[in-house]
Amino acid sequence: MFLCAPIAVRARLTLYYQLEKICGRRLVTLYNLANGVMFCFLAGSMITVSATAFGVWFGFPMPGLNDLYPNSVGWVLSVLVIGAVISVVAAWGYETVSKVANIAAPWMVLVFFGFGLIGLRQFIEVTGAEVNSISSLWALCTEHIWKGGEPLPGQIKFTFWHVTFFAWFCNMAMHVGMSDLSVLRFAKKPWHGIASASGMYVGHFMAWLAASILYALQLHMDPSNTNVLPGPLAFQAAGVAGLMCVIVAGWTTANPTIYRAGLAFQAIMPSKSRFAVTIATGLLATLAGMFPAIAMRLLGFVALYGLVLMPMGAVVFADFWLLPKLGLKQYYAEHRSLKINWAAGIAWIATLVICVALVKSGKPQFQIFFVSLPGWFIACALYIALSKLQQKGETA
Amino acid sequence: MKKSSLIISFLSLALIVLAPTLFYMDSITLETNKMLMTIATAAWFASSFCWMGREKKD
Repeated sequence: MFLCAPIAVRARLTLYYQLEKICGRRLVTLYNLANGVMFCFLAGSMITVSATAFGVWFGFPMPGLNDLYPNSVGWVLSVLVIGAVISVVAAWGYETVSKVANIAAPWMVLVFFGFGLIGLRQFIEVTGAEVNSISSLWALCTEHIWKGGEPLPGQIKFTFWHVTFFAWFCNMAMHVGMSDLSVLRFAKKPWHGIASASGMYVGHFMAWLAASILYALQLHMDPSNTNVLPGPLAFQAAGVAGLMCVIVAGWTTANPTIYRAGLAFQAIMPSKSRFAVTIATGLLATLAGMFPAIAMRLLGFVALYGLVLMPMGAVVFADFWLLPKLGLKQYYAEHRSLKINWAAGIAWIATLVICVALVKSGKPQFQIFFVSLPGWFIACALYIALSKLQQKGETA
Repeated sequence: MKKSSLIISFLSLALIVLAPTLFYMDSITLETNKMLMTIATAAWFASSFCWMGREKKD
């Protein structure tokens, strides 16, 4: 609402076109490639999520938390089938994608709510706790559900701040990274950007709270069962409706993601049809979905993909709001017919290098979940300083 | 047809919330809850296709 939508309703351009005006054709091609590949992996991990529901139905072995490779023919086949169907729907275009999402969204949100209630009731039964007030409910939550403890080997311990930053940044590519310019350019007012917040808060906070209750219940019943498999968890709570919810939840994330990735790739190969490019993109996402490593490391991956795309969002922000105020030229690549705007390119790459170096320093305040916040300011400052250098002697 | 589909859709959404609420209140079993949620899910998808996303005719 504060970053993306105000620019979207004023410029009325897709991210890719706006970036081309700022960065030049070649640099935006490189960005589109990174963008498309990242979206493919994200879509692949969502296909993985949907496939865990098929595993309950057909009973094939499913991957564990530390599995990197596909571990059964049934797993590969189910990912292939789900990926193929999602790809075809995405290739049909935005209208079909939005129709599926519109039908699924209200039902899915209520099923998430149901998961939470069911999980709470089961906790009450297995612990014998008496819940008849807010304070007794809070006691159940802190003593049995979110009771803390050491993380599993190889996993990061999530604190309150990790959850806060992750909830904010896991869709960073869309708002801070400005991908939503392509959607919000149709908004009538900047405050319509608040619609994104409803998806994020309901999708992230409510669904994840419910999922954590169900997972905590699984660990309470069998501490050795550390598998993170949405399908079995949902089936245990809500039966077939739960399985449907897992399939649809993965589907509704993968569908627009494949569509967006297809657009990014098509911008690189404009002579190819969008249908063909989206199908090929979907196949790439399906291939990625066969490898559970991505879904099982989803938190780190999502933080990485937000980080990679974030600096270009900062470049768009600085170019739109700050450069004119500083007497510098907006849309410099278009103005000078440049193929590459080096100020934007260096700001992007240097920000990534600095952020990765901070992560590699190993300091807890510079974990990958946190570096994007300082990274955004670094990218803005770099782009402004380099633009000033680049445009020395020119007038806006 | 459209009006009845709309009513069925909203009733099915209500049932999606009602079933887990009744289970939370220990009024129904988990198996009954699962069955009710599945029925509500089928009703939602069957009925919502009849009205959702269709353009209004002037």
